[in-house]
Amino acid sequence: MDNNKVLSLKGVRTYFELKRWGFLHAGYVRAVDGVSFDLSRGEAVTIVGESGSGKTTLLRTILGLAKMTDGEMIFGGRKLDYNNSQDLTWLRWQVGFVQQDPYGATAPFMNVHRILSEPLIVNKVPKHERGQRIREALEEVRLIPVDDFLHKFPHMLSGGQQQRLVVARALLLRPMLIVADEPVSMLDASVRVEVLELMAKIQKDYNLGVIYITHDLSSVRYFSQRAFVMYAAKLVEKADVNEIVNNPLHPYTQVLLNAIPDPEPENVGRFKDIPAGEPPSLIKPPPGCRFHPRCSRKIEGLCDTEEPPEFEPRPNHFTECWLYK
Amino acid sequence: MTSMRRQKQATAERGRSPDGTEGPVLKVEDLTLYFRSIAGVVQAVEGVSFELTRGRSLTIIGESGCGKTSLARAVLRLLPKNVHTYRGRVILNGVDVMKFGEERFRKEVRWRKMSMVSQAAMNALNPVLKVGYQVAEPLLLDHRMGKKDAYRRAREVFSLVGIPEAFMERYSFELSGGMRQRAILAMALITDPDIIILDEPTSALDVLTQANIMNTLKKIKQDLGLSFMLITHDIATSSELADEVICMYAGQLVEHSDGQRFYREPLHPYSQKLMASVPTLRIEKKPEFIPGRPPSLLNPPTGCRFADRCHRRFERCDEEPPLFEHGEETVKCWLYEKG
Repeated sequence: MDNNKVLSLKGVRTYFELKRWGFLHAGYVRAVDGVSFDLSRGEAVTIVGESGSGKTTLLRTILGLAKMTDGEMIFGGRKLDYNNSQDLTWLRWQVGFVQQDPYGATAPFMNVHRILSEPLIVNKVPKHERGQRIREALEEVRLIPVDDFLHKFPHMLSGGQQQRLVVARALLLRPMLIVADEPVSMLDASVRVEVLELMAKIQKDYNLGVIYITHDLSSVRYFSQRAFVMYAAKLVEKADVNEIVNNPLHPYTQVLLNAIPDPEPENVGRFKDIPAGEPPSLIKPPPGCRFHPRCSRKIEGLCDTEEPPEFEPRPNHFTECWLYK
Repeated sequence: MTSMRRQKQATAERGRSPDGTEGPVLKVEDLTLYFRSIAGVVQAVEGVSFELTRGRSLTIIGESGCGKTSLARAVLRLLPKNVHTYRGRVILNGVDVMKFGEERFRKEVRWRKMSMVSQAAMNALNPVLKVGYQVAEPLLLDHRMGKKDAYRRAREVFSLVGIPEAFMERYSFELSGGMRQRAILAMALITDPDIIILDEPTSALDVLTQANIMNTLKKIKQDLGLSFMLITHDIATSSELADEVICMYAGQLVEHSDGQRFYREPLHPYSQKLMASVPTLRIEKKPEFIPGRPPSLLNPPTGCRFADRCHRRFERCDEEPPLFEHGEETVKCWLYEKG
């Protein structure tokens, strides 16, 4: 067994059942539909996708907050059973979560000490250990001097400090994996990099796995090693982050990267080539490749009928697209 | 006045003065806006002056709390109740509209000449009214136009912003985020204003939708010769509509530059640091961050407000710098003092 693996997903599906009149079955929302990947210790991956692509549901599945319908999730060498509450407790101990909106993620009536005590109390860490752990976590995220911060309330902290507090909370139980849902999208440009650098340092120091979920690839490209592109509940492309940026293969990835602006004066008066339409409904996804109705390079009779399997056109660069058969 | 005529007029005007030789459409002089709060007076906008040329777009960038939204609201006089000080001049087409009374301002300026696209696209529409009605509403309430004409005009702006006509009969919750943002844009366009203020028009949207809306805005700007004021904290997006750039810090304008120059070679140390913090996708450059945090606007420092975080600070910085001319640009920094 590979000891270095933190997380391994195989064909994970998370469906939500739709009901009519409260009890009649009316189909499923296929929020995550056959996702497989491995994550090693000390590695950071980014999952890029638009809203509604299922990236948050994938994250919730990994956190054990949404129930997997099908597939297999191996965490730290242990195959997880979602019906076993012991497994779930253990899983939640092992995964730290960094939310998108730091202010919304912290209780406004609790001070920093209390916010950080909470996970320790819930997870039954002995009382005498708590103070020390809280201090260590705050020092780790550089909210120093610690004594100045312990008695502050979230509204007294700046956005960047709040987000660092949330990172500290995610670290408290010394997890194997940190999952960050758009960790910097609510922050100002000038402090984003500070939080990301901090997370990268923690990742290295503790040899953690990190999953970033974002719609903006440019902000995390220097802080993750691999990137997965998610479209309509599937990971359509998986590769090294630089490989994705410089040599995207899937037509959707190409379109997505093309849409991300860089701060250049030439942008004024330059029109972008954006495909018409919207991502498909996840209740009734189109047959074949899910991107084919919007794709400019679709192959008639193939893309619209058969679902593409995963191809590896270049070493360690996987994509679900018939063009690379 | 029919819309078609206005459009033609706008095109004609552009044809006559493509370089913008006629007077600026908007001139703001020494605009200041303070708010009262429990803790004291918040100096949200402090002596901001700029000009906006017809048919050009101006981008206002800065971090949250630097007063960029307050500046937009001050220009459009959409103020909350706790205003402490509100002074300066807002000159629209050569007329100082600050002298107008509230009623006259509402009737003649707001939405007639200047309209606004607000930040929260998701919540800016009324869920119990049809989208078509909401878009036509400014014209219907005005009584200058019949119902039929108003709806015809609404259909025109719908096609302009790229929403299918059938959507007029829908409710806002039936629309996707991008469509809602387009509907709000249609609402701002329907009265044929000279200036549209866009306050973070795309920050809640996905990358693809964002690029799509930006395409639409550029097209509208090209076709109608409108002037835009784009307010955003997203510097990469700001470059899409930046003929000129204003960079704000702690309530003050610190740099006003041409877009071509700003994104290559910003002048003020804050702009330089801010640009360095922007991640890029195509250019290999590791982003940096600015240590420290902006000063409180309750009691801002007397000297340069950026001095504490500045990497090029020197003795002069304890005094407040005036705006220095540096070629075509203006910078509020002692480094650009002449002589």
